[in-house]
Amino acid sequence: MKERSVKTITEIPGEKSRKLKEIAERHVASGSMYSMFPIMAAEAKGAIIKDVDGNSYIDFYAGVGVLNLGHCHPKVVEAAKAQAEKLVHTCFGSVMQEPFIRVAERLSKITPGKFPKATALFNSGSEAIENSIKISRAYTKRPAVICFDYAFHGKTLLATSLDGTVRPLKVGYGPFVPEIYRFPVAYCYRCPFGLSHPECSMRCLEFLRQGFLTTVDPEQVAALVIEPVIGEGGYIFPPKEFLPGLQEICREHGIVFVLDEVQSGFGRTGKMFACEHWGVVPDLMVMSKSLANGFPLSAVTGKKEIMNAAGILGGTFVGHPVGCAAALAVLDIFEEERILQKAQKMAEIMRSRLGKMYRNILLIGDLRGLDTAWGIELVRDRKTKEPATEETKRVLNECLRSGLIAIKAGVYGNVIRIIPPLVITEEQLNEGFDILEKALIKISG
Amino acid sequence: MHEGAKAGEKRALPGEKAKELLNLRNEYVPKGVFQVGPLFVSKGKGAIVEDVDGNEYIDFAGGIAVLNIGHCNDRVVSAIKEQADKHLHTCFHVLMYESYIRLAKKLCEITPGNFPKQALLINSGAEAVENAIKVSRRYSGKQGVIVFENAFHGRTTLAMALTSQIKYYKFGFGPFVPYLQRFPYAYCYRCPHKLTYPDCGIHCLQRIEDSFINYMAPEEIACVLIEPILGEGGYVIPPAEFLRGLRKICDEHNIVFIADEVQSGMGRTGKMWASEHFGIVPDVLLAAKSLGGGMVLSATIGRKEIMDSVDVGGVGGTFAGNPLSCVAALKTIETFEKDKLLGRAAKLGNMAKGRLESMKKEYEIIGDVRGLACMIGVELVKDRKTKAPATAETKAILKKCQERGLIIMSCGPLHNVCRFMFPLVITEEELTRGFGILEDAIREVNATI
Repeated sequence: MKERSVKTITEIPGEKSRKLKEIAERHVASGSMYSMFPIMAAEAKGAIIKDVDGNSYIDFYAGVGVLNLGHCHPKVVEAAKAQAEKLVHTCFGSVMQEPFIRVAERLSKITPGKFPKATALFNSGSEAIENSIKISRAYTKRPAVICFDYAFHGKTLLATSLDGTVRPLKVGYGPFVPEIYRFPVAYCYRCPFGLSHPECSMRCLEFLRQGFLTTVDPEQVAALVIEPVIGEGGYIFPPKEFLPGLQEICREHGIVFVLDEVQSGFGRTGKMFACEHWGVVPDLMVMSKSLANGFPLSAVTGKKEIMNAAGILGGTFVGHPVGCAAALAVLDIFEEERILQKAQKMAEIMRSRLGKMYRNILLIGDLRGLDTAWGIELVRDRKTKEPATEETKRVLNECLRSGLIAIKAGVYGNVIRIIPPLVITEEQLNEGFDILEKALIKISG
Repeated sequence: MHEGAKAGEKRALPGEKAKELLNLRNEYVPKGVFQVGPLFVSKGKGAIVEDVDGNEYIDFAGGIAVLNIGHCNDRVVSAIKEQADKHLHTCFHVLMYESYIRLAKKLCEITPGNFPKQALLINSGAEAVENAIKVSRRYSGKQGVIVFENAFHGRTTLAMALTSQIKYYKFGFGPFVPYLQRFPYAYCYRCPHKLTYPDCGIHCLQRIEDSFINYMAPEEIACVLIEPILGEGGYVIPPAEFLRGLRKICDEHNIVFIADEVQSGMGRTGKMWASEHFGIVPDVLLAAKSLGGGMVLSATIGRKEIMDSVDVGGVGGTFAGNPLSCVAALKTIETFEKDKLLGRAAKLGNMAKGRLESMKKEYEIIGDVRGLACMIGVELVKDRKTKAPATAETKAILKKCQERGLIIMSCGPLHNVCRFMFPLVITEEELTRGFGILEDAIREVNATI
């Protein structure tokens, strides 16, 4: 029998974690300390995280989708170190450096769409979203933006204005940006129209078209921005007609179709980008998170004529050489280690383990996913679908104490997302699922 | 080490390797991504960089004030390498780590004000600005923001709205956000009221007081956001009364005073923060640029009750306070302490200013030399009387410098201010050599006006 990956040698949290948390409570702005986990990370490798007290955990959240290639992938670490010795920073807006150009070249090549593309790099997902809207507005010379319920696009003011979750993202930070129009999203488990797919005939698409008569003139809409898989909003996977329908609406009205693949990109759903599952091609794609597998980096890649319409784009740190060196290593690893091909085996295990849990554990109201990205929505009653918010917290807490780190999503905080690094071993994956299953059974019983 | 031209020698730009990269750049990077020239840097150490064709340059730009402790500082590089072996990222909001907490504590200690403080780490200066406005609004329950002409606060929508210059920071990117009021900055060389300091009685403050009657009531104003020294807006150093007066207005009306020290902070002015020169204590202070010693990092640091007012989960971000950036920042602060860089900044600043003052005596084109230690701006004019901006001439000077191995940048709404952002670890010899290149370029261009 293989050795277990989880090691628990102190109570959780241990003493060192507790002491550091005391300092944190004094000096760190509490708004940024929303971790429900009282432990402090010390080291991590692959899909295993070690805390400062020496306990080891299996990672089912991948740094919130940032570490699809695992913690401290040796090739990523090597590339970053080598770059740090040569050149840490230039500010691309003053003096250029090669890693930036190479990342732009590669992203333009690997993103969907066989048209000339260009890429601009930024630091965070929020910044990339902000810039995709800037670029769309400059290109179309139109002010309005369409976004959706449950969306999460970031925490800068425009990004926050686009967010489709009020608490805690939008409370007290307004006034927000004008000319933003929000529509319902195809969240079939809780259909905003109370209908069922496919009998609904995609009422949500129809509703958007109707919105052009009642809410906003499509000739005034610069961009439509959506996550192909809703991330923070609850790991919501739309039916196959939804995204192609949106793409068509954008084409009809000359609206820039912006896909936010910040969380769904870089292999998370078993393909390089989630939109490939539905064959949709965005005009602009927004990327971040696993792009550099642990370094702050984000990108907007899109049609060259759109990208070139903007005045000045950039920022002091954008396309940081160390982050770019890491991103180039990431793109190499996807090819050299055949990550997506190998992920199919992992997808099989995930599908079968989660399918079994869904059949046996009533607390799970909905199971949804694509290959290697899954969400389970917990409810108190499968009929009323009353969100099991408190129970979700307890399940995750129970997981932590048993050596598994997983996190929630959704406006009710009742969706557990299951997004381990794609390099997790079969044994670790199964060990993690054992812990999750036990916790779900314990809390539901 | 250098196969190409040494700093001081002429080189053809772009070089062969740079030409190839430039083609790639034009193919895959949008036009809007700005550069000062066709220059690709491959290596940097201290105040010296090398381009991909092996040419050497003295760096007076420091990655736009990011490299106050120099390129690839040894302490920073080894800290990055060591941390990279341990963990790269966990997302602090899910799983905390020590380096974030230690840095938050350190920043609370080294910023002005003897009151309980807290720090929030994010990625860019723009994000630090956005978060400062967020916490101020949440804390005060008010919405209004007072900002200034020629301000630069970043390129996200709110930061852009707060920024003053239209082309091309804001052009075509609107609509922006409501509840902003903009006032003239105390830019005495080109007084917005055509008055002269100190006879003006700091009229720019009066404008703000008056506005409370006909623009927006102070009860609706959450915060005043100001750069204690204008950065992108022209390296303008205001009279101390201006900032002190603003501080007083904030105190009287319960308005949060935010100092954007993104460019002026981290030792640039010979003190850790420019605010200290003016004897003002901001309620919230913003740091970025040189904070991470070259790594991506920014911070919003402020009074505990303000920082603590936001909802848990309301601020932050996935990458915010990356562990490598945090260890790099801790080493950067340690470098200031151990290598006594503040004292060095004062000394280098004196040298630089002395040299520029004597150049001013010789070259008509230099209209104004202003600065605090190593944050120096030199405003170039076609005519000292009319102060007509020497915009094209400034461009020509920077280009000549670049072709001879000096990287230097301009700023200001009229693009006619040379700014000095050299690393504080630059040697006196390098500084002198850099000024030699600059003086040659200025002399040549001065002869054409």
